[in-house]
Amino acid sequence: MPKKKTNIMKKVKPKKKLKPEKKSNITTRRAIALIEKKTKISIPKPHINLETVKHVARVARLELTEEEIKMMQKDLNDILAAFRDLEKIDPKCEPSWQPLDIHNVLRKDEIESCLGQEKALENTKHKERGFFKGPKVL
Amino acid sequence: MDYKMSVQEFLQMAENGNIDLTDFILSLNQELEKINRQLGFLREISPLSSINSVKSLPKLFGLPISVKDCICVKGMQATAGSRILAGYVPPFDATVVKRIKENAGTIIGKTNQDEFGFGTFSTNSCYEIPKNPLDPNRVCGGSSGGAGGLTQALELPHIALGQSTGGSISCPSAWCSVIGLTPTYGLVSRYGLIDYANSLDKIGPIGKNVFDIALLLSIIAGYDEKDSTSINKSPADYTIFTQKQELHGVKLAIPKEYLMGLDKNVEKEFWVAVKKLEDIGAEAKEVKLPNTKISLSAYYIVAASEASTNLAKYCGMRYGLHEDIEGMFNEYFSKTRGKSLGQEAKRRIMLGTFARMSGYRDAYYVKAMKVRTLIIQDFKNAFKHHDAIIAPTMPILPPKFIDIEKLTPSQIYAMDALTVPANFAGIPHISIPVKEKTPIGLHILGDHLQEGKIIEIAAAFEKSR
Repeated sequence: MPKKKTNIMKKVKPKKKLKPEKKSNITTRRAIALIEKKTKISIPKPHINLETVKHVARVARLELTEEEIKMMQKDLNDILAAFRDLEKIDPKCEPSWQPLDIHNVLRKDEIESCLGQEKALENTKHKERGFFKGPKVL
Repeated sequence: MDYKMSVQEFLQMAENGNIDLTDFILSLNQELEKINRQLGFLREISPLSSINSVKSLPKLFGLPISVKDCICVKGMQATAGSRILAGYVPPFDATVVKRIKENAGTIIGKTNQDEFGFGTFSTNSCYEIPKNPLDPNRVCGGSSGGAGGLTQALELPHIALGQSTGGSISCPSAWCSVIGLTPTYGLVSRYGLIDYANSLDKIGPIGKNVFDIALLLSIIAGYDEKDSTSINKSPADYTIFTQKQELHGVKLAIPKEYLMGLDKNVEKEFWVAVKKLEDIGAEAKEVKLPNTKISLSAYYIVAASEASTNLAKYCGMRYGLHEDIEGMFNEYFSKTRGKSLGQEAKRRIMLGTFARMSGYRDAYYVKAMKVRTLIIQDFKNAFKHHDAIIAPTMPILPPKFIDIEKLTPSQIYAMDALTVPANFAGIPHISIPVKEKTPIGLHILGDHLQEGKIIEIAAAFEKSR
């Protein structure tokens, strides 16, 4: 198991400044694995460091306050520690993306009436000449 | 006139022309205002002007239906409990709402919920927090808490439309002592539902009697071309299954894994309920569902992953909350989302984004989807020899508001342990109170599309209570 976890870590491509922490994390992981093996007590691992929390927030387009970032780190680690049973298994079956065997249903490509432009825009104040108006892209 | 009556009595009287709909709606409106001031079930009550256009026609004859806030009703604000959708007024009806209106149901208002359905107590709302009508110091349960609470508190005929991702119909039904049905995934159209997790969301009815939920299911179930995951099944009348009085020859399975860590009262009442089921002819046997334990983690990974992609569309631009457009798009979106999403919504977006990130995807997301295959297989094995599975709905009684403040997110998630597997596998289930005005539910789980079978069991149990 520890070997596999190291592989997972290797796949992550964090920004450069993450590197030192990543290295120490692996060492900690190995140490924990050793202790766990000897004592048979499972120890919650620090999965997510502050930099990772900031990275995830950036990817998710969430502006978090410093306080929120700290809270998220604590919560996510608490949740992932509680979910450690997932790490212990390796099911050999196919994934079920849907609960039932459902196939995509496509309708015929025929012209039908749909929501008009005015209706579609009535819930926004950010509009101009029949278009949605958004923030700058370039 | 005193309108305190059951749905069935109302329909009979209305069909015979003995209900003055205008007078009835007026009384109902006053009652709703009164209850809402005390217990906070409704986000919005339909204006009398819109209600008065309803006619006394089949099948619902003007019967009041409340709708969970995450389901779109044309012209009524739909926030799904979130500030980021404040002010959003859908220009269309969800398919379920359209079908209710076509059958002369009266949409009476939108019920409060946890933000986007993220919660077990209905306390994660940016708006009113519903209080349990059986004890206002306790929570209603989540996330369809307003729907469950209103169904218990309102003595006038009414059925609620709830929605479940991992237990949001069963949990408030159990804790508010009403009956909730979560249908097979895909049986009821999700068109017009503000999504939480696409492979898990189900819309279903909450009512006081088994007849009520069977009636509303008959109206909302069936194929819809607007939902690509809709099952190709024609509408059916599920009320025919409510006649059952005894259960001779019905085989029930009790999963051993569902009996661990139960509150003493829940455990005691569950076994009393099992005895009642046996008294009316059912055979109950303990079985093993070996993968139950890992379903909670796997479910939360899938639910958070899907939620994190679903919520990406809320950026303060096309509907809902608006800020003044400033800065580059990433800045504007991040700022608006950071400012207006609640803590639990942010937590799940973070967890879901993390679980889908390159390097972690196989270890979390894909593995969780594989676990779903195992859970479905567990259920299918049990249904080979049994008609249904029974268990307590929630492991504990509804907690007090002051007691939930100390709980960590993972402790809260663990409370869904008994409702998650059925939701994860997309199998239909009913929560029915073990006895009236008691916040303990008997959970009845059936195989995919076996709604009729579980309605029969619930109906027979209801008569035996």
